[in-house]
Amino acid sequence: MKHRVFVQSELLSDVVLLEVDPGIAPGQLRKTLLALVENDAGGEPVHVYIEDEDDENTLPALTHVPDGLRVHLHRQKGIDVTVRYAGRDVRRTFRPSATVARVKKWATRELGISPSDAAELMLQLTGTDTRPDPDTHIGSLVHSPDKHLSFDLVPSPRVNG
Amino acid sequence: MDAAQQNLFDHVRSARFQAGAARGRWTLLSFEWPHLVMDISVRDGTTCALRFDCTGYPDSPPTAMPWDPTRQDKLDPARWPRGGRVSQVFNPNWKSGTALYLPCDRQSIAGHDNWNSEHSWLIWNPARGLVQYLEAVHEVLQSHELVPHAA
Repeated sequence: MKHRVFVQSELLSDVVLLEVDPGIAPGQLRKTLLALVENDAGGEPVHVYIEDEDDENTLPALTHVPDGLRVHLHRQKGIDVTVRYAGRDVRRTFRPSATVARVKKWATRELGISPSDAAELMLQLTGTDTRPDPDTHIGSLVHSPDKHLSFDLVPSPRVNG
Repeated sequence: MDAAQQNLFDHVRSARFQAGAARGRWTLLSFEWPHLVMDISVRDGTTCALRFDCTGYPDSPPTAMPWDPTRQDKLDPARWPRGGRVSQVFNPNWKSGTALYLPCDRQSIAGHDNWNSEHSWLIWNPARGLVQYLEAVHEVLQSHELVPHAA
C-alpha cells in the first residue's frame, strides 16, 4: 500500500500529493521530490525540509515514509519572519517548511498573548488582505531570492453585519 | 457526470482537500450530487457535520447547514455549535437554519455587498473551491469562545 506525501513549495502553485512506497530509500524520495520543481528552479539548488522540522538531516535519516508526511521544497534555507501586533514586532528566522500555525504560536507566545486570546487572532500578510491557512508552509509565500515575510496579527472575523 | 459535478469531484480529490482530511480537520461522510456531507473537527474534540448544496459549483458558492447524519436531517438547533463569534456563524434563525452566516455561503452573501470589503478573504473564490469554505468553518470551530455541549 502506498503512503501519501504532501508537498508544498515556492515553485508549486498548490499542494501536490505524491504516493510512494513506504520503504522508498531517502535518496530516491529526495530525487522524486526534486523532480517536481527542477524545471522551475533556474538551476539553483533546492532544499527539502520536513514540515516544522529545523534539522535538514531529518529526511535523509528516515527509515520509512510515514503516511501523510509533509515536506517543503525551497531555494532558501531560512525565511526571516516579522510579526507585528499592537505597535510591537517580533522577529525570527524559520525554515521554509514552518507552518503558519507554528509561526503564530511562536509569535503569540513571544508577545505574551494567552492561548485563549490567540485563538481569536490570525496572521495576515502585511499590506494585503490575505490570511493564509494555518497549514500553509511559509516558504510557499516567499519566492527566492526574497527571504523575508511580514505578518500582522489581526482579529479573527466577526461576521455580524 | 456534468461539469459542475466533475469540478466538485476534482476538488474533493485535490491534494489540499486530502491534506486537511489527513490532518483530521475534516472528513467526507457522503457525496450524492449536488449534496455532500462533511464532518468538521471542533476544538473540544467533537465534530460538527455539515450538509453542502453545491448546485452550480464552482461558479456559484456552496451553501451549508448543520446536519444530523444519523437522522439524515437538519441538526436540532439545541445541538448547534454556539458561543461568541461561533454563534454569529452558526445562527439557527438565519435562513431558517439552512445556511451558515459566512461570506463564502451562497445564500448568505446575497444582500451583503459590504462583505466584499469587510471580509474580502472570505468571499467565495471558485479556484480555491470547497476547501475555502471548510477552512473558514474549521477556523471558527477552533475559537475559545465556543461553549462545549454538556456530555
